[in-house]
Amino acid sequence: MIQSASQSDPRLGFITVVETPEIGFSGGLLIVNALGRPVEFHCTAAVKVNRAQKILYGKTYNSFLFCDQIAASLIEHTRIQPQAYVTDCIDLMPLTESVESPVLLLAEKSDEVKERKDLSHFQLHERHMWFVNFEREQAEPMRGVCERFCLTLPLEEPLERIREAISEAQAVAR
Amino acid sequence: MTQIDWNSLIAASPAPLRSSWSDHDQASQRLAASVVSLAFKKPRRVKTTSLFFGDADDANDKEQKKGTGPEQKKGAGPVCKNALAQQGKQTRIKPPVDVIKLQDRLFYLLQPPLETLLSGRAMTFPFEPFHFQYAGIAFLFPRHSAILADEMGLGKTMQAITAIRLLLRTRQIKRVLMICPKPLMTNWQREFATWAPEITVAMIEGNQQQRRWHWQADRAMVKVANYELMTRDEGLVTDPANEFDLVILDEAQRVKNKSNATSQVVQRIHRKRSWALTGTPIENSVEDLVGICEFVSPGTVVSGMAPKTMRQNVNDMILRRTKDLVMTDMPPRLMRDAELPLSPQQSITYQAAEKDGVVRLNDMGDSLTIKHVFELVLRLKQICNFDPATGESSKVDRLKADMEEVAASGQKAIVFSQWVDTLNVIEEHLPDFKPLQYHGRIPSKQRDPILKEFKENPDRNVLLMSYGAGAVGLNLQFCRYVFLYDRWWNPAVEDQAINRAHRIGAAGSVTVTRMIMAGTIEQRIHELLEAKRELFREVLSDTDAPSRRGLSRDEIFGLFDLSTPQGKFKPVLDPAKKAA
Repeated sequence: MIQSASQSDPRLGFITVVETPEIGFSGGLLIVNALGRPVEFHCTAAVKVNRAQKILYGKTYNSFLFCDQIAASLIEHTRIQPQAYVTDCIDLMPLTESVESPVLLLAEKSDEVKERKDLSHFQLHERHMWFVNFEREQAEPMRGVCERFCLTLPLEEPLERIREAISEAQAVAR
Repeated sequence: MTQIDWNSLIAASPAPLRSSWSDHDQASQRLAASVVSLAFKKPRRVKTTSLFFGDADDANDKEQKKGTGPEQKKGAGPVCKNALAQQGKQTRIKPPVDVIKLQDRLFYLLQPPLETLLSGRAMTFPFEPFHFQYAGIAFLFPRHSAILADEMGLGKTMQAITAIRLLLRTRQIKRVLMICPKPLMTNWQREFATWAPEITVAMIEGNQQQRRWHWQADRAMVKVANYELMTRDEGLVTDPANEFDLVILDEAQRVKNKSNATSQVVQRIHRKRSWALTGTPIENSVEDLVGICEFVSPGTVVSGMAPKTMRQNVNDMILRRTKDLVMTDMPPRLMRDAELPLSPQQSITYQAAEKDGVVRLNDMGDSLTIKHVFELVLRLKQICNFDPATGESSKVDRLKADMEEVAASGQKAIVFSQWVDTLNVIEEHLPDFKPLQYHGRIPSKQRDPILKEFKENPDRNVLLMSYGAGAVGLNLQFCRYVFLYDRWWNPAVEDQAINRAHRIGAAGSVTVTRMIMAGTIEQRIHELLEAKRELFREVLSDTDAPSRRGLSRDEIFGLFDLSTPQGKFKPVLDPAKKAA
């Protein structure tokens, strides 16, 4: 049974996908508490690009691979529902449609992000947090949670841990 | 033909496809749908590895937040402000190479930076640790076998205590045994009170019955015992029922000889983790490391192993940093060699003793042993300190002059000698500076008050110490001057003595004066020691080279140009050159 994180003891889920040449795409989800300590971690085996699927899905292939295959597999195993998911991977934004918690994108104001008319953002110190427009009501209150978390750790840090863990898992697998 | 339910398929299809499909005509949609129904009916799940972390340590933190934790009760210092983390300097905990299971490796990799981990656990520190100290804690924390071999004065004690503290907080350990030299027991007690006031510490001391009770009682998290007790309490300390989660050897060079009785006992203590702390992992030869490893990780290195293999095998287990490497902003250590002439009377006595001694040694022929040479060396060194007949001494005259300056500037000095008798004579010559003595003849219980008096009484300008009692574990960083009245055989011991004053927290530069009588045995020993010091530097930067640090038998014979029983001595300092 999945438990919801309480307001007094918030949990944030950090999720990203890493591409390793010749190995494929691996996803990692790290749920941490307000002090940045790990609560749950899930990572997938590497998924190789399926050529047939890529042709059929075209531009939307990455979203299918990242959200419907990788992220869905990760979230399926969670025991705690975090108050928000934080990602640095724009292709994970469609996840918004399939999870209850808001999905926040940590990204610079690049052309790729600015072109997306369906995204809004708020600024957190020097960082930009993007969210899907229709989630405004849910996403904006997350600013407080993220701000509190930033007092402990930079928001990028748990994503770095995920990348290291994936790299470790791949090294062990070899 | 099976009818496709177009609306259901759209609803069940992956989100990214939904919007794009609405633009197509019905026929295209049907064609696409039939393909999708075959290829993408249900996205296949990917194999996933999961790791769930316990909340055991969180309970501890909640107590802290409520103010019921032990630290609040004791009113310890401020919570670590994590200043380094704010500056972007973060220390990550890396899994040791001997951790094999992926889950175990991920457990360490997924922890936040150590600075965050410590501050999040509301751990208090009297002052913010240095970055390299965090690295030392991150090194110890995940290891079951570890040698922290930092140079003296870099805070091995603090690093070990904080790592213990973190392991206790995360409930990875419950019972710890600290074994140290007897004079350092109270020092450890004090350091635990400073760095981890919530940790309960029991000192194993008293008569046999009291010690038995201490060994068997489980009221304290950490037990502190001394090496001397190991053989006396062998049955209790090696009792399988008395298993420890962690055993730490402080000044671990004490077990460098793996076959001595103390080493044998400590190797048999039942334990899960074994750590060794030493500033001199290689004191005389690389074989010293074999002895220490026999406790830390038996079988990892063995006698006679090629240095390169040895180095590879211990690489992940040993951490050594030097002050030069990490404390770039530490006050400098200024070395000066006071090469003094013998006083007229000293010179007459010395020449006679040397001439007579060498003649006698040469006359001994094959019955000559190193012991005979050694006796002559000691005799000559004593004359260099004081003329036995008149008490004349160039050294003490120079010391008095220097002490005038030290006292006038409100500073304090430590004077080291290898003989307590010499210290007694020096004391008689320095009444104006109200000297205190600290050596093996002072009972253990009187030693701490002596150090306290020296530190707190501004009239006490000088502390007279023996190398044996004052070389390890003491913190005297308020002293700006160190005098080596005579020289020890081993540069490592001299370094340890100097580093009582030149360590973290040193108030300023530390001036070390090495007193050497020109043209005497002292100068010859000095030259040999300097050559060895150079060799040691080489070995530390590249442990492929074997190391010998004290004076060898041949070198002692060579001091007087004597023939060893096997033939004429030919000095060779660099074993690599010897091999060539």
